Amino acid sequence: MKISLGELDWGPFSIWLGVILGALVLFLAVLFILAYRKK
Amino acid sequence: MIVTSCLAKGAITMGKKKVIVKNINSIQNFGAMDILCTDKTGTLTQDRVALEDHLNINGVTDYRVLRHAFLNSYYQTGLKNLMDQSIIGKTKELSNTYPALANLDKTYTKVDEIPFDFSRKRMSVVVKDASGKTQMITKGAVEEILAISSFAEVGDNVVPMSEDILDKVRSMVASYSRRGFRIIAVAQKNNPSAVNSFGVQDEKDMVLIGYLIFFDPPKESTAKALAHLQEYGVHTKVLTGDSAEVAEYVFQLVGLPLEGVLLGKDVEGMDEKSLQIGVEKCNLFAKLSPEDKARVVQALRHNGHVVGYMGDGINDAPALKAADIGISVDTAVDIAKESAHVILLEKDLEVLVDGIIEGRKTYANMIKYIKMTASSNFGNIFSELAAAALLPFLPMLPLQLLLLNLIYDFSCIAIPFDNVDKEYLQKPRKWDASSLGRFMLWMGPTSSIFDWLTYLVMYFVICPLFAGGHWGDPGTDSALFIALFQTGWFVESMASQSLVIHMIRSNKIPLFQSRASWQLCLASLLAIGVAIALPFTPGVSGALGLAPLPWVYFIYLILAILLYMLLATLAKNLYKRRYGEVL
Repeated sequence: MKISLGELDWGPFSIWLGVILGALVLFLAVLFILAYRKK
Repeated sequence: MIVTSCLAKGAITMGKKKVIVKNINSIQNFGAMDILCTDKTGTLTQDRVALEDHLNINGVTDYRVLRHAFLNSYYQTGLKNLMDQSIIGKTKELSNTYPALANLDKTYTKVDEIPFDFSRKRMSVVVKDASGKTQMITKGAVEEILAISSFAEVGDNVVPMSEDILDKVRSMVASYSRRGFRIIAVAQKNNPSAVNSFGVQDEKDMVLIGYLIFFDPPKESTAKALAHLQEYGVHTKVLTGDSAEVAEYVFQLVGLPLEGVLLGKDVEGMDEKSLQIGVEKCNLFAKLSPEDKARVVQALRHNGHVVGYMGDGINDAPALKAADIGISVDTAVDIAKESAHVILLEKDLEVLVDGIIEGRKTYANMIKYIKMTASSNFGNIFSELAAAALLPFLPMLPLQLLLLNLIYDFSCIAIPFDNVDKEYLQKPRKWDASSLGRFMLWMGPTSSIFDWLTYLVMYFVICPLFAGGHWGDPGTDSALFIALFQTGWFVESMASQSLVIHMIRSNKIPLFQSRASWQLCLASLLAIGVAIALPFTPGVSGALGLAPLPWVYFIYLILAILLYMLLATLAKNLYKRRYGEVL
């Protein structure tokens, strides 16, 4: 490793991780609704 | 390539199971078939049509009847069917005991013939004896012979045909038919038209002389095979030119429940709409002409069924052509083999069951590949779109993308060898394009989420750690940053694509309830192994723009792939809950 972990940009990382996890939650919510909704 | 490989593998396996596929595309129809229409003779029965007796009008064994039948069968030049062969064989066998049956081919000479056709259902031969007397001998279906007989030979007398005689004949025929015997009537008349002017018009005012009684017992394997077909969701319907009574008797013997009967004359009187309703209610169609058989098959197809037709005679050719899948046997007449899509090397319904199972396996592996690749590519489009919008460089070089697809396609060569769950084979599988679209929409984004996660970890963590800083920072090795990023996605893509097939290849829980074949497991591991090895291979990695990945990447990779497989399994189960099944 050429730089330490503390030097990484954890702020933007966390924001984008939140966006991806949000997308995942949204996607799963849609799947659950479709799966359990009465046809 | 993989779809063709699946079909080719299916054709080879079917060949080993005595099913020869003439048209490779018909394998899928074989698996999708939900109705099997079959001829009775030789399929349900043993195809050993034995001449049991030769009776005169009074129901007494009479060698004159056999002699006339022999002359007709021996001298007709058309196809000698099993009945003709049986008549000739029986006459030769009895000729030692009964001199009147000996040397008939020398005593009589042939003058002319009127060949068999399916509308007349009879054939005539004109012969001349040593004294120069000519006589026309006609044999055929009982009703058709009665229609042209104005006289009957009762004892030594020829008497005009009367209602009493007709009733007696019909009652005797019905009594034999109910016991499963097939009956052919024989008639003759002396001195018909002048030589060389014989024609169908001569088939009138004939003298009914008796009947031939044949028996073709059901095969021992038929009942079991029909039960197997039912178990695999294939409903059997019998289409025969024989009488309904004979077929009903065979139904009883093989344990096939009779749902309803339609006769040829009923079929001919129905318009297409009524026939489409009628065919659903019946499973026995008797006294059918070749055209009637084809109409029944077409009506079933119109109702949405995938129809297979199994037959081996000339009269089966139109139905074989009309069916989604025409099935014949290698002993069939040429036109039947020519019209069929599949040839069985053994005329046995059990062989057919094996073929159906193999057809479904082939379809399962084909659809597995198509769905998996379509959803994976759909997911990649999402990933690429996000990368194009947010990243300052390409997430993967065109060369790397092509290489990824090449390695993936090579690993998919093992798909035709994959195992298929027994439960999947239980019902007919029809191609359904709508399921492909919804599967793609359901599973594709799952892989995109992990692609995005890989972008994030590579861009903000791994690449800065090993390239000396963040993207754009002074002192950061930009070339190494890009190469590490692209390599990270290259390996993650290959691992996720190769492993997800193990999650979606079955409705069951992967590894625990359903395992892939060893060939597929090996191919998946090899593909991942090659993708991991390439960046570490001197010379090759540079040419491909790849860089050796640090150990910390592999910790992320293992975690990400495990999570992806869990998410894919969850998405699969939700899909299964909504749509019933995955493939």
